[in-house]
Amino acid sequence: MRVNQLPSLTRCKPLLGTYVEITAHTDGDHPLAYRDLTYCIEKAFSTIQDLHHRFNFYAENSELSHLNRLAHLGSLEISPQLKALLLIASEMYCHSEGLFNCGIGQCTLRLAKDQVRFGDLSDLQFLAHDHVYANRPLCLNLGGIAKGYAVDCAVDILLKEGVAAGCVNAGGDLRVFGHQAQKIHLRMPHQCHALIELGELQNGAVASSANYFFSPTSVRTLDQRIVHPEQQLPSNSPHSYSIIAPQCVHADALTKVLALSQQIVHPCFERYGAKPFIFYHDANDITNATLKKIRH
Amino acid sequence: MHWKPSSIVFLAGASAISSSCLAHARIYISVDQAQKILFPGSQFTLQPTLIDQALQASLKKVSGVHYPFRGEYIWRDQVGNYLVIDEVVGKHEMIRYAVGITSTGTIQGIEILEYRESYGYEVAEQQWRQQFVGKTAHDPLKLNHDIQNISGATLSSKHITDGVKRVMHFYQIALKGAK
Repeated sequence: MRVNQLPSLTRCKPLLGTYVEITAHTDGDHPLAYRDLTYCIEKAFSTIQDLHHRFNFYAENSELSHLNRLAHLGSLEISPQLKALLLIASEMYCHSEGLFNCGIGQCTLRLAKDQVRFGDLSDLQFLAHDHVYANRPLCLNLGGIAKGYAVDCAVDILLKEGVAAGCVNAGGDLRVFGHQAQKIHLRMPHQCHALIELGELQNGAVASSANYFFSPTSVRTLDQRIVHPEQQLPSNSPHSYSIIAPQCVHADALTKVLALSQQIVHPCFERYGAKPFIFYHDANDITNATLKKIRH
Repeated sequence: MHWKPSSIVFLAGASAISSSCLAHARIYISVDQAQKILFPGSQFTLQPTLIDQALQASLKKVSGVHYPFRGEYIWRDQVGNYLVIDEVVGKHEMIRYAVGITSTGTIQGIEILEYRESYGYEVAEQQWRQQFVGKTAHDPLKLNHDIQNISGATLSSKHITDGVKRVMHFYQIALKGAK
């Protein structure tokens, strides 16, 4: 029986600044009642909502804002959730040789570069008993990794509750799970309403980065684009960058490495079992929907 | 993890566009399901409200949402909880959603009921539509309801944030304290 033929429920909520969709399928051997599916999905949404509040860069009272304000003043206790994400982010910062860097928050807030000398993940020290300390003031923005992490946490909850198969999709960063492969579609660069079938994925994640929903002149969307950590400038690339990996947190973060390095052979990808894809689009020929070149 | 790439990943050019589909739509849950999820056990009755010009102007001023608020999809239960259905229309999407408001005026939850992509967009963007004519099978603008897992750049949910602000302002003015 195909996954999409099993009894299932799909719900969607506005979270993490985007639309988060959760699909849960029951299993023929151990069927969950409809109300149980509702409960499982609700629990997964609650987890994402909690992470949304903790990692929100733009909310003054979030745990991340608390860290950005205080970590350089002395040892600071943080939650296991924030610690787990910061450890993953720090590891990816090292393995990507600084290309994946959450220390670009000042760019998204448009603070003058020379006004305050902010540090980055290399300035963060992990101390005993869930404490951290920063050598320099921080302005970390976890927007490049938090969605993927939240997706993984939600999938963990669904699996723990006995959901047989499903998908958690946070605005295009998604992870599928279960014993059947599921079809994955991808939006085409500059034709965001046109979808192509990328392939079939089982127990894995896909994340993509592209500028097709972003207007170069829009103040609202400027802060959502990938920022180069050295040049401190947002990307204007017309191409679409996708990563397939076992964990969504890695797929999400590695799209930034792919977009900034433009290299499909970066050693970072192999380390995380990731497969990179670049969908090229000729920026001078926006009206032509044909993909100019596809590599993987 | 098991990954089987589509043949499109190995091909370029015309095959790419002929294998693509255009936009999609999805119905998540019904109004009845939203009521049961947000307020389990409650019995709701429809309580439409007339939105006069002054109220409409006030809602627009507070939320920044330009299209009119429709007052016919409002439900109330026996203890004063409300379920308000609203729509947001963006450049890329039309979204119908439900806001659950408790009798004390706090948000119980928000549920997306329906997501419809390229709503009005394909009509407005003639050039965009023209390029697909004859290139895809049967109906080039048919919305695809079967697409399940879509990866891509993040679509902002700011329209919903503005919409919920409008619904809550409407509650304060028109619903709070009503019998």
